[in-house]
Amino acid sequence: MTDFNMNNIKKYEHELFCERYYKINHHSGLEVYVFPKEMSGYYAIISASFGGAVSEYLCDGEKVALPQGCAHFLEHKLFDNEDGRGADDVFSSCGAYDNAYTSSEKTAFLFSCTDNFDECLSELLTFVTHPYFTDASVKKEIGIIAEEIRGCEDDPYDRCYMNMLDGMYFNNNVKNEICGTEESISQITPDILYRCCEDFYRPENMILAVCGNVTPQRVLEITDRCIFKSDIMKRISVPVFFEPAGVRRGLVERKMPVGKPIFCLGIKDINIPSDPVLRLKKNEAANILCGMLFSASEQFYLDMIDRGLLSPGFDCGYSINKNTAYVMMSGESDEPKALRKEITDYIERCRRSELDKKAFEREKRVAYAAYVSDFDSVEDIAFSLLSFAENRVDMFEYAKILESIEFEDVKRVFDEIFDTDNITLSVVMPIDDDANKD
Amino acid sequence: MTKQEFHLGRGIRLHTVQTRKFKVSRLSVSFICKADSLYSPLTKLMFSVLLRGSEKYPTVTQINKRLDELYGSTVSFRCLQAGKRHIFKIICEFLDESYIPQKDIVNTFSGTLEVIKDILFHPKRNKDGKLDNAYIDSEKKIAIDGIRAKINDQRAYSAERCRQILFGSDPRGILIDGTEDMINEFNADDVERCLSVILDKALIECFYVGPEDGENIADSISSLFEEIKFRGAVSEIYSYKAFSKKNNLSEVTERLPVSQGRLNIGFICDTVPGDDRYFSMCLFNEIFGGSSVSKLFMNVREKKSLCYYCSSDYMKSSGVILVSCGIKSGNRDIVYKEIMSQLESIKMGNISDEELNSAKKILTNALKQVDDSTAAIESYNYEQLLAGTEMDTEYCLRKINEVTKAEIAGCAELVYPNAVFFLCGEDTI
Repeated sequence: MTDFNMNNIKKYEHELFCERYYKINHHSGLEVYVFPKEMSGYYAIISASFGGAVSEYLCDGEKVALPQGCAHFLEHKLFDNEDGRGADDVFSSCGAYDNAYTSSEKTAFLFSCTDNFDECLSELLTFVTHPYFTDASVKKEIGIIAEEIRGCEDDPYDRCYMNMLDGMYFNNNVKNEICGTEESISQITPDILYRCCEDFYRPENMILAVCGNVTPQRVLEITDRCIFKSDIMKRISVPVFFEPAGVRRGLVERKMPVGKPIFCLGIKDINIPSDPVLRLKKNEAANILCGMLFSASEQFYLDMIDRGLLSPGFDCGYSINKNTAYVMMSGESDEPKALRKEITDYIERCRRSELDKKAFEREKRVAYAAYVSDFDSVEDIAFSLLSFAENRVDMFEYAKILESIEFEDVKRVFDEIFDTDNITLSVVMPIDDDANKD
Repeated sequence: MTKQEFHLGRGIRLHTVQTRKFKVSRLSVSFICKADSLYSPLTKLMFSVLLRGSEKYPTVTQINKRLDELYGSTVSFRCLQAGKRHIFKIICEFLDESYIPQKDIVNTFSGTLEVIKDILFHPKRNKDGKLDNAYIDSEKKIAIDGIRAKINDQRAYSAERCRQILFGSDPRGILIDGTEDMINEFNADDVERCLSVILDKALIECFYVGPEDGENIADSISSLFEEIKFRGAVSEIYSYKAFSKKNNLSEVTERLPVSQGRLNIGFICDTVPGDDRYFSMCLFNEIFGGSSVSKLFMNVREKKSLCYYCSSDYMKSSGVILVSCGIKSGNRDIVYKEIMSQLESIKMGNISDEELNSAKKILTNALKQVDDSTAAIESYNYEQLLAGTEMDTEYCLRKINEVTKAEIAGCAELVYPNAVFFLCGEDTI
């Protein structure tokens, strides 16, 4: 029987939104977040902090090296169960949708359903903690993932983005191909995968977020049945490589069969606050700033469209986590190099003049509205819960953090981030295009 | 949730769903036209020009600034295909005022409505009263860029090419985007004429999901269209008709220096919503290639490792099914054979209890989630409207659960391959 006292349940409430959620520190070490919401659908997502950026780590002092693409390979293979009935079969028999993804930082598994929630959650918690691999099943997966790698190689947007990361960073593993290469995945064996599971798929290294018409007690009962404290303690640490200022390459070019040149322009930021609240605050201030300078509400965007240097669909945003931070602008342009010059000139002009206070107020409203709109979907709530949990911030604190951002904060962030020496432009040009040559 | 329908006269209709479930409300205004190879791209261009600036908000940045002030209201534009019709839809989303911090008083709904009223009825004009040529030229360039950029997404590109081959000269195959040559030819007079034709003749369907009472919304929508005194259009009952022209299998191959080949097969299935076998066909598609436990996924991807994705998509408004997969180009024939053998296997009634139950539950799950988002509520109700059916989700759930294996096998007999498009990668060049 579930003993609620063994688990530290904390309730968080938001008066204006009439919303609440619960955080449970499960005795196994798993952090569980439950957001009750009166919707027909349920959404649950569990993540392990083991992503594509991990190429080596220390386990109780012992160094373990991994072939590139391990986390992603594991994401595929965890769906296999020993009884031959894959997790996909179980979710489908419940009418549920299931999926998984791997980023540089983590691997996440999720489902959404309207019926059979208990069975789905049990399956999710069970399959991610009960690996079953054979030589044959691993070998077969190599073919499927090789096809996925080929698909990524053909995707000009994906290539453009990866080339930007490769140009910006000297050492940061965020530039690793998450799927690996056809060569690296061929080195993956069941033993390597079992080892990764043992070391990273431990309750204390995972977070579960659930949203739907469900109580924390119900989620807790299911978690109690499926997740157990590990018998053996392990000290796992993933080395963080020192990343100097400046970029490895200012320009990365590639030709692919595209109809029009596409670009990703990154501005690398190495000033990453270690305090999660400060990091979140910097993230919000920087995104407000990106909106103030480059959104479709600003003159610069309009000028570039009018001059044909940009196409609609241009995007500019800032992203930050513990190890990586950058501004990224992406879109299509007939002349990406000329656009880069316009962007750097504009940044320098902004440095010499005052930023626009009215634009600051508008962007704060836009950020607030985007935050509120997340509460309309069980999926968005589950993702938000997970993201705030990873950053160790209460999701209801966000409105206060946003409110606390002053115009001065944004000015400071401008000086910190918008350094034109830290820019990498990645371009994918059409195969027959010679027009944009210097 | 309270659902209401208002006939506002002049071929303008409003559908409202009153609910307090959401913090962001949604209003869409759709202009519904017959698919036409020339007028559809022109209409798309015309709306893009309108969205560039109005009398009160002469530039796109001024429109966006106003929307940002309204706590991040959004106005977006989408073009959709539904059988032989094209739909030009303006979508507004705005925050429910009760969630705005108390220090601000902002009327998000009426503010957003005021913006789209200015966009629709007071486009930016030059001193001579003509639409702005610079905006028209700029939007023409953007439209052409969009056509050229289609190849960037090879999966979507190859699916579109397959549909074109399948439909041939039928209106269902008309591309809303048109061609580069066509766009180049359009001039300011064409755009002006298109605007007056649309405002006079297009059927207008508005849809609102949010906390306001339907009567209040009807008053607001009436005032949105108050400048149109008379219109030639009258509301009509729509319907879908299946594309059932059986051709000899036509096949087109294009070569591109890419690593992954894309194989697309277009099947006719002679079934649209409203037909007796419609629900059986939905289940057929689910079992064939609609999910990650479908026959195509389990056999072509999982058992044979022939691809990363292989799925089927039932285009209900045209009564066709499209199969698409990403493969090693050298495996084209093996994959084609495997897909066809999965179809044959369903025809033979080779459907397990588990396959049938999973398919039923997946469709049930999707239907039950309709009420969980403003976009899904709108989309479900639009589909009923355009199909000329009045099936509520309860009815659909019951019908899905009544379908038998024999009925699904019977549906498979109607599924006939008509077109193949193969984007051949470099491993065979």
